Amino acid sequence: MTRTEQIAQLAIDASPRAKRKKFSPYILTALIAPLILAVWWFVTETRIVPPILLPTPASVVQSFPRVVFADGFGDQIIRTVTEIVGGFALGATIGFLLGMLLSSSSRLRAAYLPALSALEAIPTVILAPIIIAWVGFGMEGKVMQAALACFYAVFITTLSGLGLAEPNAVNLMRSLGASRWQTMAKLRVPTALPVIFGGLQLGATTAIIGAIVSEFIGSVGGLGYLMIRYRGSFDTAAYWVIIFFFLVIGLVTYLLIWYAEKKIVFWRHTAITRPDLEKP
Amino acid sequence: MTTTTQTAPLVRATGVTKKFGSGDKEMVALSGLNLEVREGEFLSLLGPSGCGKSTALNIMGGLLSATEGSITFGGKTLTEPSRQIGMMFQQAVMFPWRTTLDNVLLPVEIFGESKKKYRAKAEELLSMVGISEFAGSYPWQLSGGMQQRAALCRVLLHDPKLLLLDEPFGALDEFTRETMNQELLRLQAHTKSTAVLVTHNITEAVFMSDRVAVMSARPGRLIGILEIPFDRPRTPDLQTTSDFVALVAEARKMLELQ
Repeated sequence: MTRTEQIAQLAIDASPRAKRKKFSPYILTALIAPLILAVWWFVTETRIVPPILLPTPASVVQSFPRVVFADGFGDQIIRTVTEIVGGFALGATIGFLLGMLLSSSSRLRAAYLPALSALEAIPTVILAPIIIAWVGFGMEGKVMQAALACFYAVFITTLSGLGLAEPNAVNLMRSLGASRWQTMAKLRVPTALPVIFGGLQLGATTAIIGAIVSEFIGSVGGLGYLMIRYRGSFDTAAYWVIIFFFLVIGLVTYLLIWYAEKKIVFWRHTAITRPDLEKP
Repeated sequence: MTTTTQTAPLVRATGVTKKFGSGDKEMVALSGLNLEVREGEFLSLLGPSGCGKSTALNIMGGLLSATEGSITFGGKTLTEPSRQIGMMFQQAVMFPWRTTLDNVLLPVEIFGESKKKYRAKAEELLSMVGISEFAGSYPWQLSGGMQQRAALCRVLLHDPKLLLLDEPFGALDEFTRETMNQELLRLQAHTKSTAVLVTHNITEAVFMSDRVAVMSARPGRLIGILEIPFDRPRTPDLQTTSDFVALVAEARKMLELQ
């Protein structure tokens, strides 16, 4: 970079837009929580909403140790998390491979893409009783349900992401005599990664829903199983404690995938550092 | 066409026609191109946009097949891309997930050769174009000009006999572009490779080339070939000489007389 270019870049950096100090978005997150809590506290304490429908915040907090230290709670949460992770891994792998397969052939796309998309219009939830009837109340059915719920998001984002490579980049690979597989591995897959991560993020959410719904419909363990039990005894406060754990699972999953994306698709997240200006 | 060839040409295009689409939508991009590229020369394909010069280049590179006619490369009919041919495009086409050095090493990786063996050469090329200190940087940390320098290193890494350059510096600003053209001439002379440059810039074509093939638009065909007799290495001063200006004027006249 020449001196003139450096000065031009410095001028861009000094523009008011770049300089304006941003406040942390977490301040906004922190603001919304007390607001919700206040409304919740108000409608329950004043009995506008009866406690059997919505427990008071205080009663949920009080129920916390009772639920968490109950016998086997750790096993139940591990069971549900295992189902989610297993189902997500299975569904995402199938979705990714199927996306790669269909992206490699327009004939296969014409043959199977409409059918696959039509199938996705069926809510996977309604298949839960059928899957349970097939494989029983064990973990296998929950894993299958979670896989079924998340595969399409990964499949469709993989398929569209693999088509995103620039024509010039494809031509470069062709001019070097690259095989289809080399073009796939060295160009198409890396190009698709940012989009695929969008699919993984979406798929993780639906995998969680899949596993929980399946537990809810029929199970012998897991957080969904606990929920059915607490609902049966009209223990609404304990029921809400479990909902809180789903929230935690969702948040941790989001953060894990977000972190993986940041590390793997580093070229989209790293700020332009201009090593030329850092050198003396 | 009045080309006199002492040795067999490196590339020979015979009656090359390219049509896109069919029926009512048929479009003749290139019509009956006869052209020889001599070993070691710098040839430009000059013409307005839509004259089929890029199409001709892509056919020479084996990326497109001709509807009619044929191309020979080194005496053999060309049907697919060859390792002996290196292509450069208007964009640098650097992969953002690879460091500059790894981008330069991409060809040998595709060829399945040892990257280790070529590492020293890649570093040497990078230092020849003055960006060796950015070998470990990512493309997005480089300016557009630096990225094209790296792309130049990438195309030269495996010593292709023929360089096909599709307006490689067209996206750069005028100043960078001029420097890059100098760089290109220097490296082409150094590697003794043959080069075909596609451009719509008359001055650039005359300055860079031993011969300029002037083309017309729709359907793209060859109008004529201009011999550029200036000695090498050429310096930017050349562009102000009356001989140079006269040749530019002649090329312009050929383009207008189509």
